[in-house]
Amino acid sequence: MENSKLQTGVEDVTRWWGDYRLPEAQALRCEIGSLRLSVQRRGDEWLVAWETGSEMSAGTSSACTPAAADSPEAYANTERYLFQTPRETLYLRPLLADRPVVSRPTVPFQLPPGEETVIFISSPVWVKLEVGEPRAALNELPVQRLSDTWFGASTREGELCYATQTAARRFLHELPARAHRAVTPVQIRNRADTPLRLDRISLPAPYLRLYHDARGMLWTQAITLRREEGSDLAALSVEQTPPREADGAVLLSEPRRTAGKSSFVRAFGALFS
Amino acid sequence: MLESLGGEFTLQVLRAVVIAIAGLVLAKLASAGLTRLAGKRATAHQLMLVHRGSFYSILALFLVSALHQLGFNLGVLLGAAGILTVAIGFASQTSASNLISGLFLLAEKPFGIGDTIRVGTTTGEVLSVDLLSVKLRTFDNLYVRIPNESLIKAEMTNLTKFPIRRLDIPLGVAYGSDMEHVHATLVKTAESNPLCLEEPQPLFIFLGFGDSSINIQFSVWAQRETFLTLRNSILQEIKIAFEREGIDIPFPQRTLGLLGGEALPVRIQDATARQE
Repeated sequence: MENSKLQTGVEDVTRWWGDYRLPEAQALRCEIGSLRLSVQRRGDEWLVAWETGSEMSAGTSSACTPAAADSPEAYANTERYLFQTPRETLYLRPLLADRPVVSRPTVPFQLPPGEETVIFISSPVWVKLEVGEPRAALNELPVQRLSDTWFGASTREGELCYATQTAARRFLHELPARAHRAVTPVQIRNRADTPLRLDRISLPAPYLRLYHDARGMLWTQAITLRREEGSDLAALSVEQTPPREADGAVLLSEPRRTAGKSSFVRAFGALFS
Repeated sequence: MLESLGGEFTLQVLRAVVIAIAGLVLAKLASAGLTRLAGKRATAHQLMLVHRGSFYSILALFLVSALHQLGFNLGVLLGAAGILTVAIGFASQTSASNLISGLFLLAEKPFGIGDTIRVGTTTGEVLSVDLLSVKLRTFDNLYVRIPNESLIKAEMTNLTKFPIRRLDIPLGVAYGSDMEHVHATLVKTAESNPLCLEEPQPLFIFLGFGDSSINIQFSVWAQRETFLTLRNSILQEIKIAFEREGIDIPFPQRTLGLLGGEALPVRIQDATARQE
């Protein structure tokens, strides 16, 4: 069973993702963020039990440990997956959110004309469970239940997103080492001659790739917001390469959806609402 | 010459008779053929209409040409047909109005199939938009037919046009309550409910000073599909939060005042004495 921890002198993150071989009548108990998960195998049947808390109950460390067979009654949700032939290996993989994530800085900030900055915004990940060869997908569970929110120009048009709060940290060393949130570096450039006030930023999570670095922290590609002179709109662009803050980045998952250029143009028009 | 005249007349009559008989035969054949063609796809009612309609129209055509052969002036017939049209026009006013209303509704598209609309007191899901009427299925599974005319004339509400919807919760809190505390409790309850949208933000409106309580309105937004679930969950959560925070929702209150300034004698009975 894999549960790697690299010693580099900097605080490292326990990785919960990977391949797990589960013998009969043994459960795998995971605590990832505020998700409590228990997976066990009974012959050709898989039993998944889980509970998700709110943002407040998320711990900073995540781990998956083997345990004796669990009683699923201890959890709020249970599901059984039936197969014809027994499958022995469980694959856990992190995924980004299935809707854009609207991050509200705990303290709104302003970018004066001509300034530019980089802030780090994190969003919770989803846990994807798959078993066997060929891989059969069991379920996708969020590490915490995020609140719904509406992001759009009016109550008539827009899209449903998730809402979260961010500390909008500007320095790498300030970032807490958490294995259940993916960090997105957001570079913001204000080329206009009026200050840019940011009290809401929408991350296009379904369109980003997920990486992990040598420490085990989760990263997405960097995104850039450029507000040009004389315009209220800003250009959003997504970098194609892993962020440079992530050393030794390894790709974990592809974007859920691929978007044409037009959807990004639309995305940031509302970004500064 | 009389003979030739008589001969010509006989010829005309013969021709007319032949045309009439031919018409009869053709009408019979045509109506039978059409009925057989439409046999599988039409109901009994429609089949009868097809049969009779085709028979009489073809017969009429041949009879008219037979009469024309005999030398009758068809202008009279046309005049009669004109008057008949006017009479039919007056009779079918409503149907024509429904038909034209239907066309306007199609062009305007205030709702489509699958939308939920409310017309007067009827709320239901639109099953079909037909020529003369719109068919609804109410939520207790009843079938309602609404003429297009009444949709054009009266107000209609489309409940599923926009993706999000606001829920207005009227509340009354006791007069002694701290309004800041009430506001904070309501906002915290809305935030902890994941179905309640964070944007647009929940609305707190101080409606006024009521008879028994201070009236407020708390409005939250939800996605259209989860509206009902939110309504049930948030009302329960508000009740629990109010009980926990000690915020009172009062019953209707009346204050008694005694005239004359006399005191009302009250006797307090001991609980143990009552048991005896």
